[in-house]
Amino acid sequence: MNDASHAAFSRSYRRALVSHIVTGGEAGLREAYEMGRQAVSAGLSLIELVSVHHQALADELRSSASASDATLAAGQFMAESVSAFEMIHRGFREAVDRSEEARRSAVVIRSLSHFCSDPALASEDKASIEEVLRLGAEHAREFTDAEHCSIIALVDGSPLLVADPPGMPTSGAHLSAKRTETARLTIPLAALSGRRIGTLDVQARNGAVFSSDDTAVLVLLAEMISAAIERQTLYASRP
Amino acid sequence: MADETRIPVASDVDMVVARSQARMLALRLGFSNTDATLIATAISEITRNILAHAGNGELVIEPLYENHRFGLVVEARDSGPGIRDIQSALGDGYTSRGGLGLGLPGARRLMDEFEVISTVGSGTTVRMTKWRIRDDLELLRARRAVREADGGS
Repeated sequence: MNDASHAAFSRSYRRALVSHIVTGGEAGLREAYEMGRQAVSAGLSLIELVSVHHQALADELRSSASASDATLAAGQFMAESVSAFEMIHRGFREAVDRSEEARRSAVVIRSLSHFCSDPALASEDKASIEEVLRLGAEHAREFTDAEHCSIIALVDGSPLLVADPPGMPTSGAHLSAKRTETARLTIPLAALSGRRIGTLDVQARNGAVFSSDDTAVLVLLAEMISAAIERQTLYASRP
Repeated sequence: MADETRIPVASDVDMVVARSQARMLALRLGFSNTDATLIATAISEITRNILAHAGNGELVIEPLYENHRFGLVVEARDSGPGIRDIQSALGDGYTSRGGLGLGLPGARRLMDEFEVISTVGSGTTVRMTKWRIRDDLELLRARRAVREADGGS
């Protein structure tokens, strides 16, 4: 906002404030809201708006018969004016939270990717794949703050099941009893050929839901786990 | 419902009426002045949307009474063009007519619950709710008032 625009805004603000101090009512408060919206659109900062307000109030109090009434009305007017800034500020906080979520995702993916891509895994026995599944289930559950995660994978032709936390019941009867209350995500594990080699299943806590970020990270985890299993299978089948 | 207030929306004057009705109800439900201001602001944003995109519509404002909390629900309905991509419309930066995208995403941030139902060509309904938690002292006073009323009848 340049100086001329700032001066024009200040004059408009003072007119609206004085009108509200004199007549009161919702119409004046609505005008305050419009002034705040105009300030946000013009790029005026909250500190500048507060300064405009205080200057307008000081000018009015010099000529006002009842300073306390004028101050009370001016306070209401100010609150309405800054409500537009509150929307922006909350948007900023949401953006910070999303950024932190993205950072967490990157850390989890990087950690598991580093582990799964270790060539030593392919040369070890079934126990190393079990470790990959265990780590994957742990990351999946922690990242999504799920109640339970289980991974079933076909390794060397036989199913291998891991769960996090360990010891949680994985029977269908238990899960289906909770299905009506909780969200659940099931991500397939697949070889490069598309052949299904397992599933990654996470169950949310009561009342919780999974976000699109949760799904995206779980899909990536499933792909890394699938690649590690396939690598081990290929190595085990070599002559 | 007996407690609801219906406000037709066709001009800026109706925005003032809607704000005023919502503010009075909010203060009656025990919301703070700040929360009453935020509710009025959210209503302003939704009403602006109606006027800008549909030309006219209706607001329904009603209280919600639960044991441990009171709520204020606002439902805004119009028969305008509808929203093709609701997810985008609720994200920042999206605007169909220029501006900062304060409208729907801005209103969503000020309320506790926010739902948009829209069909292209058939209109849009926005339902938003703000809650006030009743603290232990208020609950105690309410129970005492009920006991005294029962004892006196």
